Amino acid sequence: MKRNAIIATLAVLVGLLVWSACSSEWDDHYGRRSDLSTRCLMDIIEADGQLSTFSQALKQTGIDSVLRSDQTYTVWAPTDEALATLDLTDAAAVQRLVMNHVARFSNPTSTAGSVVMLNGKSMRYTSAMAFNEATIDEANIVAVNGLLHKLSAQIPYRYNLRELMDADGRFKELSAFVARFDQRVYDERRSTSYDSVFVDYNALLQDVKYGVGDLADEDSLFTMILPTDAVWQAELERISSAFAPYNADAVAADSIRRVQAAQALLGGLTFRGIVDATADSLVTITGKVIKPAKDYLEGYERIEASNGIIYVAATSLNRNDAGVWRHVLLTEAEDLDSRVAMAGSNCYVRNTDASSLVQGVSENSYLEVSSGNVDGGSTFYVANALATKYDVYVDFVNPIVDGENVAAERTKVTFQLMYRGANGRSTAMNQNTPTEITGVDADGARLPDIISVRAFEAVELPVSDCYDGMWLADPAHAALDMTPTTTLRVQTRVTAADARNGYVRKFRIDRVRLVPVTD
Amino acid sequence: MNTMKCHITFLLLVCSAMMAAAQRFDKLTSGQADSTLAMVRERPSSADFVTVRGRVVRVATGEGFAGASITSAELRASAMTDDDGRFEIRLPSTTRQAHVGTGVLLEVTAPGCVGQVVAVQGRTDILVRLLDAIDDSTPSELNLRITGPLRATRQSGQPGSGETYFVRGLQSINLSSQPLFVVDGAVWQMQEDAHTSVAGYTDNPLSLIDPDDIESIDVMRDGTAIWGAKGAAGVVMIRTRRAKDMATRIEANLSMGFVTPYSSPTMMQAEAYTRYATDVMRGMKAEERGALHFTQNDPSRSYYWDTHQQTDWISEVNRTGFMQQYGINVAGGDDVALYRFSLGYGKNEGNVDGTSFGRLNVRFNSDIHLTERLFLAADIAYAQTMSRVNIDGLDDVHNPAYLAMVKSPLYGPWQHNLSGQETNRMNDTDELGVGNPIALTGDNLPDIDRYRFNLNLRPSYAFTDRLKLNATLGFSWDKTAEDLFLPDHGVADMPLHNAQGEVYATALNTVSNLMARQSTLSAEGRLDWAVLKDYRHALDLVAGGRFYNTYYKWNSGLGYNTGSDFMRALSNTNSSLRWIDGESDKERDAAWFLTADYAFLKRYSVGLGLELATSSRYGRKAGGVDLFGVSWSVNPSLQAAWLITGERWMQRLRAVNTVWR
Repeated sequence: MKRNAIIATLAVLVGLLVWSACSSEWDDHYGRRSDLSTRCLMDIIEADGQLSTFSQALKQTGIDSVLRSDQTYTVWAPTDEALATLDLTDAAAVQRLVMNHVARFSNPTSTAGSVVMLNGKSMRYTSAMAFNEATIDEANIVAVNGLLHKLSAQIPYRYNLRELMDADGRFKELSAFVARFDQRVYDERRSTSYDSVFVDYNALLQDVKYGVGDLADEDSLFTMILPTDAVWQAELERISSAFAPYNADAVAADSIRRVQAAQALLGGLTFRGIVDATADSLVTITGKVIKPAKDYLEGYERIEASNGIIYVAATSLNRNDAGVWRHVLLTEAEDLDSRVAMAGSNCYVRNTDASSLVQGVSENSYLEVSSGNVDGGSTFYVANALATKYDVYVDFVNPIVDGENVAAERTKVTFQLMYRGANGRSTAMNQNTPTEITGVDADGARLPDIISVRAFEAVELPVSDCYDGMWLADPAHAALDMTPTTTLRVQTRVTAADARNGYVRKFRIDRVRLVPVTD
Repeated sequence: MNTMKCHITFLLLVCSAMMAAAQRFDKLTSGQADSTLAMVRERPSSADFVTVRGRVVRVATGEGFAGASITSAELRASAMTDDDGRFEIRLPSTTRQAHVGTGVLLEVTAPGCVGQVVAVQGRTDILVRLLDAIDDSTPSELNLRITGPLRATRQSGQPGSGETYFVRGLQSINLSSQPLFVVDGAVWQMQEDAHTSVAGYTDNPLSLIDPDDIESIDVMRDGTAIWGAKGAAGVVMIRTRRAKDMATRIEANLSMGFVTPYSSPTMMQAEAYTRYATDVMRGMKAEERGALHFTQNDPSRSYYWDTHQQTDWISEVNRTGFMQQYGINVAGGDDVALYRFSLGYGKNEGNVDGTSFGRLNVRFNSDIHLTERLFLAADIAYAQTMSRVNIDGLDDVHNPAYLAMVKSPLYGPWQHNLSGQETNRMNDTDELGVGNPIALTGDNLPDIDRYRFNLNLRPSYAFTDRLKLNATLGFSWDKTAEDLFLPDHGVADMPLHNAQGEVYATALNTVSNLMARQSTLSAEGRLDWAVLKDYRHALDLVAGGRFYNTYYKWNSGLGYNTGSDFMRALSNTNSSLRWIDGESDKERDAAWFLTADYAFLKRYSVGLGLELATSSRYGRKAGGVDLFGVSWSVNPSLQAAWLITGERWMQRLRAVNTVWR
C-alpha cells in the first residue's frame, strides 16, 4: 500500500515536470517574438518629429486609414526638409505626392526588381540606400503592418503620357480633345447585385480596335509625338479641309469635320514601345504606316515619361500625309461587298498564282466581267473618300492571263464616277470616250501585265465620305448602312459593228485606285 | 520463451480448471461428510435456524469492509457484510447435531480479494481475514489489460473508432494480420474486409461488447492448434462475466464524463493573417488581387462583413463532449442454474459537433447443470451501436476538423446582411475555395448503425472427472447500415478523375448508402481426456472436430449530384454518376484435430498435434488429401516448452525474483 502511494506520487511529480516543460517549449515556438513592433505605420509616422508634413499629407488624402489597416504597405516618407516646397493646400499635388511614396507589400532595401507604387508607377532601388534616385536616411523601420523608410528627398514624380499631356501647359488643345472622350462606365464584370462598380474609360485612347493607345497605362510603353497648341491648330487647319462630311446641319458638319480631322492627325502620332527611328518604316498604333521613317522624329525635344517617350513638336510637325491621312483609296474588284454588277453582266473572281502568265495582280485575284449582246460592266464602291483631289485609275489585267491565244482580245470601256455633291445629291462625271483595253499593242508587242488606265484626272470631291474610329467604335452604329457614296462604273462600250470586228464585251479588272493629287 | 510460457500457462490453466471442476464434482459425488449429504436430503424446518456471526477484515489494513459475500452452497444460505465487515448468516440446524454442522463450509469472497473457504466448526463468531488479489479482474478497456503480446494502433480519435491489432506483426498468408477474436469460445466476426463508405473511419466490431461485461482477456500467440489457420496471427480470447455463485448480486453502474474541446497552438488571427496575406500576394496580378474581397476595406460594400470576421473555426466545430454510461446487471441463481443478466446503454459524444457513439447491449449468460454430469452454458446477447462520425483524414473538402484548421479566420460560418448582422443562412464556399466546416457537422454527418445478435450454446458432458465431452454451438447475425449525405451548399466542389487523371465531372453533393449482413454458424465438438494427472506427469489428449460457416453480403451505392440539397436519396443522383456495388462472400471450414500434451514436473512439456482441415477457400485440386470430394490439408504440429523459472536453481537468483512483483 505504502509502496503504491510512493510510486503514485512520483508518477504525478514526473508528469507535472514533463507537462510544464512541454508547455513552455511550445509557447516559445508559437508565441509572438518580443522584438517585433506592435505599432502600425501611421503611429510611427505620427510619432516621428521629422515626418510631420508627410503625416499631414497622409491625413489629408485619407491614406492614413489605409496605413492603420491590417494590410501590409511600405512607405518611403520624405522628411520635413525634403517637403519644404510642398503646398499643402494644393490637393492634387498632395495626392500625387502621397500616392507616389506608398506601395503595397513589404519592400525592404534588399528588394530586387521593380516596386509598383499606389499610383501604378514602377520604381526600383537604384542603390543600396537610394530609392528611385531619392536618398534614404533611415531604412527598414519595421511596423506591425509594413515597413517605413525615411527619405531625404522627394521621389521625383514621373508623369505618364496622359498626365504630361494634361499637366504641361503646352498641350491644352490636344488634352482638351482627348478629354472629350472621358467617360465613367459601369463595369459589369466587377459589379455584384448589391454593389455597382464604375471605372474611368476613354474610348479614344482605350478602345481595342480604334483607340490610339492607353496613354495612362503605367504598364505599357509608348512613343508619342505631342504637338504644342500652335502646331496642333496649324496642322488641323491644314488638313481639315479634306474632311468635309455632308450633313444637312452645317454646324454638325463642321463639328464632325473637326473631330475627324483631329482623329486623323492623332492617328499618326502614337507608337507602341520605344521606336527605332532608324527603321525603314514605322507603324502607328492605329495601323498607319509611315514610310520612309527617316526624319519623322527629327527636330523634337525628347521628354521621358513614366510609360514612354514624348517628342514635343514645338515649332512644326514632320509630315507624312500619305501615310497618316491622305491614303490612296484602293478598291479590290474581286471584293464582293464593294461592287454591284450591271444587269446582264457576269462577274467571275479569278485567281492567279506563281505559274500564271500574269504576275503582280494585287491580292492574286481579279474580277472578270463579261456580258453577252448588251454592254455590261460593274460598279465599284470607293470607301473613305476625302474631300480632296484624286486621280482615278483603273487597273486592268492583261487578257493574256487566260492564255496566249486570247492575248489580242480587245474591248472598249467607258467610266462613270458618281460622288456626292455639296448639296448632298449625287453628281456624276462621265468619261464617254471609250478606252481600248487589249493585251498587245499595235505592233503585237505584249503590253504590261497590269494595264493602268487613268479614268479621271484631278477630280475634286466636294465632300468627304469617311468614318472615323470613334464613330466605328460606337456599337449603335454597327447596324447602320455604311455604303460608300463614291462609286466608279466601268462599262463596256462595244457596238454591233465593233463586235463584228472582233471586240468582245469582256474585261478583267484588278482594282480601282483613287490616288490623291498632291499640289 | 514467452510463447512457451504462454502455452504452459494455458495448459496449466486448462489442467487447473479441469482439476477444480473435478474437485467440485468429486465433492458432490464422493462427499466429504455424510452429514452434509444428510443435511441436503433433509428439509430443515423453519424453527431450526442458527445464526452464525462474524467479521471479514482485510489482512493488509486489518479493517472490515462492505461487499464481501458469505455463502453456503449446500445449505442455500448467503449473507453480505456491512460497512464494518460484520455479517450474520442463518444456517439451518438439524436434530442430529447439537451444534451447527461441523462440516459446514462457508465460502467467503470479496472483490479485490482472494476468496476463502471457512469451516464453521461450531463457532458462532468467526473472523475471516482476506488477502488482496494481485490482479484486478475487472478490466475497463482492452488496452489497459494487454501489454506485450498485443499491439493496438488507434485509427482515429473519434469515439467508437476501431483499432488495428498486431500479435505477430505483419504477414500476408491469411490476407490479414489481424488476430482472431474469440468471445466465449465462438469466433467474433471482425469483418476485416468490410467496405465502408466513410473515408478515414474504421469500424470496430469489438465496440459491440460492453467492457463491463468482460471478465478476462487472454492473448494466445499462436492459436493454430485450436482454431486452425485462422488463428495463425494470434488469438485474443475474451470471456464474458458469468455468475460465480448463487448469491444474488445486483450491480448498477453509472458513469459520466466529459471531454473538453481540443485546442491548437496559437495561430494567426484575422489581423495578422490579413497583413501576411497582403504581403505574400505580390506575385499575383492586380486584377486577381483586387478580386479578393478581403483586401477591400470599404464597409459600404455588400461583401465587407462576410470577409472581415474574426472566426475561431476550431471552436466552431469543436465542443465539449459528454459521455454517459449506464449499466445494470443482475447475477445469481441456485444450484441448478446460475445466470447473469446485463443491460447497458452508453453514449459518447465526440469533439466534432454532432459526432457521437452510442451503444445498447443486452446479455444473458447462464450456466445450467441439467444433470450432474451434463452442463450447459447458454448465452444470448444483442448489441447495437449507433455512430455518427465525421470523415477523417487530410481531406480538405470533406473533413470538418481539417477544414477548421485551414480556413481563414476572415470568413464566418453564417452570412451577414448589409448592416453587418449575422443571419441564419450558412455561408457557401469562400472566395479562396475552402468550404464551410459547419456544413459538414450536425445533421450532415454520416450515420453508421450496427446490430449484432449472438447465441452461444456450450453443452459439456463429464463422463468422469478426466474424460469430458465439450461442444460449442455459436450463431451470430450481424447487420450494418451506413448512410452518408454531403451537401452542395457549404462544401467545395470536388472534381472526379478517371483512370488517366482527367476530370470528367464535378461532384456537387454526394450520397452513399451501405447495407451489410453476416450470419455465422460455428460448431465444435471435442473430447478431452486427461490420461495422466499427478504431480509428476500430466498427459492430456484432445480429439475433436470443428465446423464454421459464414455468409457475408454487402451492398453499397455511391452517387453524386442529386440536383438539390433537399433531395437526399440515392435514386435522385445523376444516373451517370452512380455506382452500385456489392459482394457476397461465403466461407465454410471444417477440421478434425487430435492433440496430445505431456508435461513432466510441470516444467517440461511437449505437445503433438494433428489436424485435418478443409475450407471452401481451397480449390478443388489444392493438393493435400482428397476425402469426400474436398481437399484436406494435413497440419501436424509439435511444440515443446520449458518453464525455466520453475527450476530450483532459478529460485536462488534474486534478480529474477523481483520481476514478478
